[in-house]
Amino acid sequence: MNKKKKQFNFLFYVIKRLLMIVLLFFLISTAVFFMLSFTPGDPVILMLGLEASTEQVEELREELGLNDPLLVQYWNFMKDTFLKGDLGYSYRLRTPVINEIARTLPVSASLAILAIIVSSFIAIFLGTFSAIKQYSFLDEFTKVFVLAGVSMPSFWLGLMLILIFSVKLGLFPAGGWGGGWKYYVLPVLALATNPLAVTARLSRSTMLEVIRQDFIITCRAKGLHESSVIFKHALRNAAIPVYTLIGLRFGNLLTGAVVTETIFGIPGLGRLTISAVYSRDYVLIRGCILTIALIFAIINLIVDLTCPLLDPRTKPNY
Amino acid sequence: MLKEKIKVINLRKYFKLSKEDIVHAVDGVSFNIFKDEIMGLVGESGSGKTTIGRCILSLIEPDEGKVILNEDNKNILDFSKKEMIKIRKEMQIIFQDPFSSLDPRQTVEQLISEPLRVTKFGSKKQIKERVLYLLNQINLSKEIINKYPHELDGGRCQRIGIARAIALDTVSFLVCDEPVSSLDVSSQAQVLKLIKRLREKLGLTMLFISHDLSVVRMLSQRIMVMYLGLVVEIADSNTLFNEPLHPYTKALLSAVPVLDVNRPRKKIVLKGEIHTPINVGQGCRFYNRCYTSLKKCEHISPELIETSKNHFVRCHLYNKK
Amino acid sequence: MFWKRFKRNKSAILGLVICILLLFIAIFSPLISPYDPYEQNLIEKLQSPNSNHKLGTDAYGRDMLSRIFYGAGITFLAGFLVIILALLIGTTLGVVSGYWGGLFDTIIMRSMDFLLAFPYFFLAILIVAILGPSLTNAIIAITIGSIPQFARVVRSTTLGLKELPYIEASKAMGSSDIRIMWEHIIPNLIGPIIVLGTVGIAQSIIQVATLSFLGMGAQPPIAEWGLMLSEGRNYIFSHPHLTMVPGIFLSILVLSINLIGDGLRDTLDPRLK
Repeated sequence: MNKKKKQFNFLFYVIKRLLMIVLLFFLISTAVFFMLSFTPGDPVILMLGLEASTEQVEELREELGLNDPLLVQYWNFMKDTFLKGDLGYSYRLRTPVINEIARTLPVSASLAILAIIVSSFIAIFLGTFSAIKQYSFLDEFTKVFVLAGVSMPSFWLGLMLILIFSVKLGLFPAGGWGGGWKYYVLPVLALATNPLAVTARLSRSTMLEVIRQDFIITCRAKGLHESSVIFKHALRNAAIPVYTLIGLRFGNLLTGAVVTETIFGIPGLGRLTISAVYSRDYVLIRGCILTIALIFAIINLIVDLTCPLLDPRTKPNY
Repeated sequence: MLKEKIKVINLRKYFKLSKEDIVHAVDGVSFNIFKDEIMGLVGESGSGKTTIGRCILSLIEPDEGKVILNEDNKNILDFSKKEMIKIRKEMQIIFQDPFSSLDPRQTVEQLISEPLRVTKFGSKKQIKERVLYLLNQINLSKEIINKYPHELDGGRCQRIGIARAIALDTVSFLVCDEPVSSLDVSSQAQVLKLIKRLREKLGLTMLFISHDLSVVRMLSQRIMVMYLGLVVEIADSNTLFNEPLHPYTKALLSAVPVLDVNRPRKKIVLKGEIHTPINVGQGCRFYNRCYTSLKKCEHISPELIETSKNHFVRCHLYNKK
Repeated sequence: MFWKRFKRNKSAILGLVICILLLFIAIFSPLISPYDPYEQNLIEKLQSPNSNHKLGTDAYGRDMLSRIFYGAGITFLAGFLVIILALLIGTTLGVVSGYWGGLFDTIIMRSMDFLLAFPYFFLAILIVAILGPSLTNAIIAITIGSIPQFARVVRSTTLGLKELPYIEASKAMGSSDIRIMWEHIIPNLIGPIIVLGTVGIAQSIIQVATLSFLGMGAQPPIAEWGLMLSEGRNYIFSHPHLTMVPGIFLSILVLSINLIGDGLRDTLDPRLK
């Protein structure tokens, strides 16, 4: 196959995946819409409070289109979401949903990205060196750390970090946002620990496997310097499953964000979702879930597409 | 009096590998097996012998053809699930690999009793008694009843497979699919002796499939030779060995070790590789390896014809036309 | 034979011992708890660990030690139930999907893909948002999110198993599909399922505890450890033991299960060192 055809196929494949995401989003929106419409309780009363008069309730209901048959509501919802990007209006907060999401998403994103970077680098470092120097202190430490990191619930870890570094040592703020880099430290640590542990474990076992492989022995036999052997060949091979894992872990990262944001009082998307659930703000819940699902799907696509760059074996058939 | 136990008519099975590649595993095979006879079936890999065995038992669905049991003129391949239940009580199979044909997580008792439990043979006690009886029949001690396949050797496992196949006393026909090919020589002898003894005792009709002619000779009354999905020769055992007709049969026989050093033998080594059974062409399938071919062999496929009593061959050399 | 190999893994044995100890505490909690875990006693509230209350008291004067003991059972049971249900449903779907293929397979696998399209926890949040916050609903929510991983693993293992000769042998004996699935396929799935299940219990316990912590799972006055952590959060500066104690126990429980899971994995596949 010549190069032009390959590029064409690749483009075709990317477009196919994007279309699938659109389809998926469509299905998810439908599912979320219908699921939330079957919840008990009258949303209007929840919005206005129990003291509202019958006229107010009726008026609002009419305005929100809640008297229309369900399918009409569904149609309007889909039209608004897909054609106008309008995810609805939160009466409780008195702002359009999309504004709230736009406000909170960057916060969560910055936390998540930092957490990924921190956890990936430290994990690869720990995993690699503990594999190279098996049974050393570093190796044992890594193993213990991995176990702890995987077993500790992130909410407890967050609270402990606050207790130690904020209350006892006074080094970092116990929560809140918007005052510079200090507000990032503890949340990122809390968020990064679990993925760090899982990734370090994988990186270590992959590295062990790679080191024992014949081609590494060949490199050594050729007389290449030890560290160049490691860094160029072994690391590259070990990085591949780690990279895929990062993509998979991203979902967990979003999850962990919910808890971390709640504990540290950070105005992110996770905390927004939780408060929406508490206050039964269904429109907001809907918007948050859809946004998160979309981001998740896009991240997965990006990871899938970039994986073959590291490991040609994972190239899907275009 | 029942003469023909099994009648196979024009059996065809094709496997589609891809859009263009079709494997002609079994390409129009017809034969009879008489009651109480052991019919040997030999051929190399790719000849279709294994596929035939499975088609007869309806484990693989053939694309065409009929299989008739007990001369009742009904094609068992057309039978419904309910009707197949009765057939399965009569027709059974022994597999090649003794270990992978036994569920590694089941004890000997569970393994042998499965056909009994499926057909609701009787109470737990009755089933256990039958299992013990069967163990006795295959010369294994009662103590292995709770053991697992991996705790036993190949020969024992194969005998358990046999016990399982004959568990129901309604079994009258057995397909033996290379039952000794995976065993060491001493186990081979044991198992073959057992099969022979059981056949006489229980009055079984058998189709004995193998790639090893010397093994087949020991047991079979008649032998069928297959090549690339077609039968190329059928004859009585002795006739086949003493007066083989088809060039392929002759080549096979020349490779069989013989103890009589005085007998003149010339080993025939076949040139070339077996043609793939994919998309076979027009002429005789053996043409490209044949050492005595005629010009017409390249373009015309010979028919299976009877040369003398009960001796059939598919070769232009014997075609009187 | 299996035991011997398992015994060689020291940390796994440690995990098993701890786990059994905690289970023991959970089962006998009514007998060994010094106080009624639900009994409020406002005079005694917010005490640090002392001789009367070995682990102190919470904001309502309830004895922490007793609540920890009772909570052991609840916390563990929640995670355990999740996995048992997810395992049963997921295995059934996976076996049917793998063995029969065709339309079953397509429908079931597409549904699993759909479930997996949501980040795990948000799916749970969504379900709890619909059903309302309670421990039962939290369990249901996490179960639904856990089914796909079982279904997938079981399906791919089944695909491999169904080609094996002993399955063909069983068909030759006239076994029905259901019988084959029950007698031959499922018992041979146990290996991968056990490992997945054990690790899954650990994860589910954390998930349910997290939901409870956020107020979407166990509701007061249930003594679930996640909820207890959330209740103690208000007093974290003044009375840190209210958050430390349930947290430590939770971590130890999860740790012990993880150790067992690792041990099982190593025993069943010694290549992975």
